[in-house]
Amino acid sequence: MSAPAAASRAEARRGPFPWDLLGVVVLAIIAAFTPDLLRFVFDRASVSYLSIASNALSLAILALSWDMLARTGNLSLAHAAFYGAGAYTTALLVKHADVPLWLGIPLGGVVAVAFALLLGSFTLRLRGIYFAIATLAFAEVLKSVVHHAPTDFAGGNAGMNVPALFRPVFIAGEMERWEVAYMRNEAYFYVYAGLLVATVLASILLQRSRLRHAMTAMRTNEEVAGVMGVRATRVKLLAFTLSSAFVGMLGAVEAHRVGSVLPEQSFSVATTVLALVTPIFGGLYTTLGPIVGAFGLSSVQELLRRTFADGYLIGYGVVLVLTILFMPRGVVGTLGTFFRRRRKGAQR
Amino acid sequence: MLHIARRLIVLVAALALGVTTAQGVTIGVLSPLTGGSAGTGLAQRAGFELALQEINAAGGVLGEPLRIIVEDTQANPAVGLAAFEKLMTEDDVEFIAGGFSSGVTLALIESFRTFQPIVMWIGGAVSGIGIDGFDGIEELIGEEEWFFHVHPWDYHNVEAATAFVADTGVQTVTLLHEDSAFGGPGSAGAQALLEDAGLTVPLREAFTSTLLGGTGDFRAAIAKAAATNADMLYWIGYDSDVVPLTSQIRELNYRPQHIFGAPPGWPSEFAAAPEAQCVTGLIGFMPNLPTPEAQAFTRAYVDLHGAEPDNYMAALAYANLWAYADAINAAGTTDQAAVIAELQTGTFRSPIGDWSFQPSIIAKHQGFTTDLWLVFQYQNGVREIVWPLEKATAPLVSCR
Repeated sequence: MSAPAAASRAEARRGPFPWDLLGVVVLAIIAAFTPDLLRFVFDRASVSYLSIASNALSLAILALSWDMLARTGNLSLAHAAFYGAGAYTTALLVKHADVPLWLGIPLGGVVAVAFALLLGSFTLRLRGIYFAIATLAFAEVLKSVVHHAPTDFAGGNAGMNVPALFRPVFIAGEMERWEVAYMRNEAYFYVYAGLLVATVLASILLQRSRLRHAMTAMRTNEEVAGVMGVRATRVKLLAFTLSSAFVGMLGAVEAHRVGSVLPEQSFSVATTVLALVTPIFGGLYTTLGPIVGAFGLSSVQELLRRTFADGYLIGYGVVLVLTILFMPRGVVGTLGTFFRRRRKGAQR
Repeated sequence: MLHIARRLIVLVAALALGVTTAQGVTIGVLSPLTGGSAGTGLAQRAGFELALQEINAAGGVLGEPLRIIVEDTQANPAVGLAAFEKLMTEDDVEFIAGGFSSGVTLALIESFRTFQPIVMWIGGAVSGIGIDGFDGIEELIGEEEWFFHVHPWDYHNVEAATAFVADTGVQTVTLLHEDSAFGGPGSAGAQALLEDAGLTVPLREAFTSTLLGGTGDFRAAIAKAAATNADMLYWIGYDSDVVPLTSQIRELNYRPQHIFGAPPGWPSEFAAAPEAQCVTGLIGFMPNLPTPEAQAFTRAYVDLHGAEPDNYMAALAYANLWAYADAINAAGTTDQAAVIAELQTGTFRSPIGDWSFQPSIIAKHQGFTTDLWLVFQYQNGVREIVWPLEKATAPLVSCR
């Protein structure tokens, strides 16, 4: 056997280099140093940059968790329901069960999963627009239930207070006031970053498993996928469960950060819209696309806001429309195609 | 070496972001300029711009032109938080103005307490008083020295509306309300006060506002209201509900003696619509308020913006900025204690008349209360002020 053939066989046994997992490690390292780097560069202004970065991380979790279900070819409009379920779970636990604040976050995910299983068991046999409408209605039903639950239980229209996870104390003479805000924002940043790393890992494991092929087959043609032995309902239910777990935990964290839950705020349609617009911008059905979409859109919006205070959303809208018109596969999909073509051109 | 590198990076970043150092006093403004509450935020900005022009024409603040930096909150708590932190840490402002949305205000309280600038806030009316197990803005702020609340609290709004209803002489009132934090507690408070005043409330029915995803079909709620045959239909909703609600009331031929609404604002073109006739509404400022201050404000507003103010938030924003300018000029310094002392003791100008800060149920500094509110009625295409009687431009007429 020739040496190149032996090397090729050895590589096949080992599998391709896990660039995606290396990417997670790099992401975690960048996240670990980001607060210190921002403080080093921007000093006290790092407080607001940390908030903006946390908002971008939150959007990335929202978008990536939505994309996990979208990979099965189903358009879910229930993300606001799972986000709100997580937010209300932690608020109710704090109010009625006096549990440690941190416990509300995983339990927010658990309750969101329970709702996903309930919704999924009724709707996952639906397809296309029928599935989308059913999921949208579910978010409205949950909001209505919260509205009409006894006020002393779920707060009714006025909502409920949710205590902050972090309350650094100002010590006069030893620190400046902005440092208290920095410590608080730094702590929340790490919570969001940790949640994003967990979401990315789940997404990568999904992509590396055989489920990826099942999802792609379902997205292309669900009937044919079924004939080929793909158990479509089971796959969709699994994707729905994973997707809802992360967004439920996100809702719980955000409730602590903003200090309250209100039905209109927690079950807002805007949450669902952001969850689907961001992966479309960044690139659907990938792990990288929703993350690129979240950081890309957040940066574009912030830059436009600081440059054109008046009508910056017009510029933001133009960027979105142009992306959809000229990059229908999103930023990541278009760049991938571009580099593949270049590589092929160079090989010729 | 690291120190020099950091300075260089900060300098380059500042230049890249267009940061400039400016002399004089700068006031940071938080308003929802985009999103569902943009109408209110843009009205606030228009009021701030007029006050800024007048203040600087009159010599500015401490002899220098006053500056304002307006940040968009999108009425989103997380965005509002980042915007406030930018004002405090990048723009280094010492005074905060503006404000709208109870959700945003609740998210900001922890951060207000961290930085403790002077905050003079014209939005966020949910006090929390009367709601068991929920701490509203007034309860969370408590007696903080640096917080000045300009807009009436929710209980002031309900008291004013209920006083008007009682003054009309009606005996029965049906309540329709949108089902969020705005209309829910407001209608519950209104029902309690009306019943305390000896009136009967045969129905309190919720609907989903068009602003919050409702379809705009209110016929079921209106039909229930009509079946009660109450003397008055009192509704609490948003600006976007005005046209569908009133047109469906006419369509169903429901004719109570009075149709009274309390949205934050009214569509400016609604006056010309036939269904507007005899509809009454609660509002914080009217351009035809027959006082010299109101007339002067309206004239100046039209000169600057080309149209009359159609949202009372413009008048409150105007009052907000002038109060800062007068208090800082009177203090002769931006020292926080001196400015707080002037705000606590001063009397300030506004299109609504002179005003000052007094304690409310919990908070130490409350600006306007029930006295802010007026009731107008659409009469032949014109909004006439009908309540309180001392400010009325026309008598109240019945719809029957």
